[in-house]
Amino acid sequence: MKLLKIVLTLTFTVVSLTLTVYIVEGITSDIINEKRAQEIEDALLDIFPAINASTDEVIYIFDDFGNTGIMQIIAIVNDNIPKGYVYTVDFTGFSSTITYLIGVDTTCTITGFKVLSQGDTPGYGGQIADYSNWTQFIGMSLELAGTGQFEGLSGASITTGAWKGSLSLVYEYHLNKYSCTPLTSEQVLMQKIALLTGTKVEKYITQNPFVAYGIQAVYTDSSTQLIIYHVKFVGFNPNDYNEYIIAFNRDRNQVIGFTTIYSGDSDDYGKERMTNPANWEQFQLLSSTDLLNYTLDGFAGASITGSALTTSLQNVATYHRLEFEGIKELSKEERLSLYQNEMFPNATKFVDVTALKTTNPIIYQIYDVYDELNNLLGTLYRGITIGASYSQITTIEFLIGIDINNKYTGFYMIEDNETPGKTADYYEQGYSVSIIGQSLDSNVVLDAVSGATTTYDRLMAAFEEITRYHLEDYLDRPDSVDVELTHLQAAFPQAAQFETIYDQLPYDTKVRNIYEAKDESSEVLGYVYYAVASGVFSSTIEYTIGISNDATIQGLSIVVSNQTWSDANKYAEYDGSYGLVFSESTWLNQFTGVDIVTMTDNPIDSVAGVTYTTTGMINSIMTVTLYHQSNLLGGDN
Amino acid sequence: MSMQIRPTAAFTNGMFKQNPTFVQFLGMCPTLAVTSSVDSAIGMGVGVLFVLVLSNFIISLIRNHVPREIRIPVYIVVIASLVTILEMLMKAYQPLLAQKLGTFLSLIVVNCIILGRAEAFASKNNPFLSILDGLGMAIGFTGGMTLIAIFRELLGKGSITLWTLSDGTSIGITLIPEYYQLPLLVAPAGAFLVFGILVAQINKIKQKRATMSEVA
Repeated sequence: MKLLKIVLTLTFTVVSLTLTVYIVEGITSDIINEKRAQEIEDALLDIFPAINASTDEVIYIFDDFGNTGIMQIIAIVNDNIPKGYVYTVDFTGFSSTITYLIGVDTTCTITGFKVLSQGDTPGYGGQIADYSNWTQFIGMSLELAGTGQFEGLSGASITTGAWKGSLSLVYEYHLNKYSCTPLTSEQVLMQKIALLTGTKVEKYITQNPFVAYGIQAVYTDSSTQLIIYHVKFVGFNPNDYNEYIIAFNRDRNQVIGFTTIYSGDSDDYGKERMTNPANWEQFQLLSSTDLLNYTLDGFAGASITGSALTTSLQNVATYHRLEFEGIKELSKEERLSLYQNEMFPNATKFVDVTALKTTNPIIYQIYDVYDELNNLLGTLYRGITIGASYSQITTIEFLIGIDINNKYTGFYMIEDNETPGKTADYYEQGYSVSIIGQSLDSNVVLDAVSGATTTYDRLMAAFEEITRYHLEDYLDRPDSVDVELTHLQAAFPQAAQFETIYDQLPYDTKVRNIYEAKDESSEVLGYVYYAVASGVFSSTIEYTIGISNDATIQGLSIVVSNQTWSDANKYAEYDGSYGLVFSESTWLNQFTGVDIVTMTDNPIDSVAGVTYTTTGMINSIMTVTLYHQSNLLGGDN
Repeated sequence: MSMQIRPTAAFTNGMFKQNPTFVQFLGMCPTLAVTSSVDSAIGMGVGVLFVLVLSNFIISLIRNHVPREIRIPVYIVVIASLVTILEMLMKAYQPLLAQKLGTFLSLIVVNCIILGRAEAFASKNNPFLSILDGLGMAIGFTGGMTLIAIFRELLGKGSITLWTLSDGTSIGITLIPEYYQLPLLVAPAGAFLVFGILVAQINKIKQKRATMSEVA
């Protein structure tokens, strides 16, 4: 009896409530459908603005759309020629069925988008109902939307994924049913720019050429308030490129958007970093100045591509500042060239003598500076010191010029990676001009810059160290050493007279003198080097070697040598075939007639048993010939 | 022998003494989720009122005829049917509100207040008192949500939206300029923040009153 009562009660409850729901549904479903139809009709003009109510015909297509989620298609037709289609589509989001309208014209361009109903979580999937998420589609190709290249809903990955899946099905259906013409790369670019900036753009005619900066094209909107750069650069993969667009506003010169168009780098490394939208957001609202000194984030594991992107962004920022802010940004090399010429206006030659000096870590390079008559004008130091940052190692590169009277000719910064903005004053053209002409021993101090005092301390310490180095450790050039005429004659038998010219040439510690070898009419036939070979068996060897204008060795004469090969067969395996006195060895005769340009490729062989001496000589002669090729090859310099 | 509850007590209990939001902490999910604007809070409150009053009434009517073993399934069927009817009516007559409330409209079916009052009150009291209880509880719930929403919307968006018309226009007022707004408060975290502060204040008042009555 009780069981029966339970059954009857449940039956009555369910039946009566089902009946009630059925009645209410009967009342409301028509209203809901009418409202939906009205809503679609009202939305038609928004979704397909080109519709003309008086001339166009609206055809409702209800068909078997398979599992595409398409509920109906409205074809807009004019004189039996389709103008476009409006799809009503359902898909399941995170927690509800979402219904939207999407309009597509005959070129497969989306004309409008609207969500009719959704029941997803407010703040998450519910964001799909926000108008701001619809406008991105207007003007976008259905191909882009169908391949998921649009902004999803933040924090709602499931609904976003379903949304992209739904649009993909619509795209496929439309492609099969009505077909689409694939977009050109230019059209894709234009659409991506429109997606990034929210507006249509056109090419901007620039005053300065931009190709050298890696920029492919510059675009602007109709009000020229936005500047968009289309840029390419090569990252890790040298056979392919990366391509991106970056937009600046004109009023503040800040980045308002960045999008990667294409990356030809490795899938899981450079390409993943380049195409990850999370890595694009870091550029938002950076000024062009910020971008010049920006430390890229998110490229760990793809440092080469990251470094290339940093350089590319610096190039774009440099160009933007030049074209739109009127600021000519100098590159490191440009600064180097400009400032060395400012410090030594009469210089025609900067000879790197770093290798000939005993330097220290602060001194990166030392140049001896000469004028066109090969007169020494002074010394240019290229210094490098650790910067101010405590969180990472930063460096500062600078130039100091010192003339032959030990007076400063200038101090210039050429590059640093200190905290952006802190060192700008150190780069000012007028910075520390007060030191020019001051003596090295007058305890000159550089000007301090407030807000960057640690940088100043480091710079000042480096400045003082280079000053000390120049006074105490930078050796004056030794005087040229003369050699007896017989050795000159032996080195260049055709010459009748010899004249030293070494003072006019760069100094080399292995060369004691250089002579012009002239005939009786004072015509220069070639040169004779008086050189020193070290690294030989028991002591250094001094020798002369003649080289003609056509780069052929004319002769070789040993000036000083205590080498003896008489005992070489006792201690080693020398067979004595080249003689037992080194200075008279027939082995030396092999150098005569050798072309110094091809000498590296066809070296003279060393001799077994006396390898120290013969290898040392070969290396020394190679050094001399390289010097000759750098400074004198081709005749009188 | 059960004590007869006075109608005024049945009506006012839910508003103050047994307030579902601030005292019983029932129905927290919609309380935190839909209180980013006042009109959503009121709309959800009206929906809960509709379901709660009717479910209390129906359950009270059938309370003596439903075997004890199946009372919970029967209550759930009643509540689910009422929520379905509410959804249909809202979609037909208040589609914008239905869209705004989204999934939380359907989730009224699992709101603890509805089933809790069915079991704790309607199944033991007559229809009149049950209706009063449902009304009081729903008003208390709506009041609690609205209070949270006022703080969140006013401080977070600078406005108070009382209702959204079918054409999408809102009836409300903007009081705080954008510069002084705290957008955090309309984010989910802001709901917890405001709710926590309000509960703390209410507890402080209650504690003060309890101390005063002890002294008296």
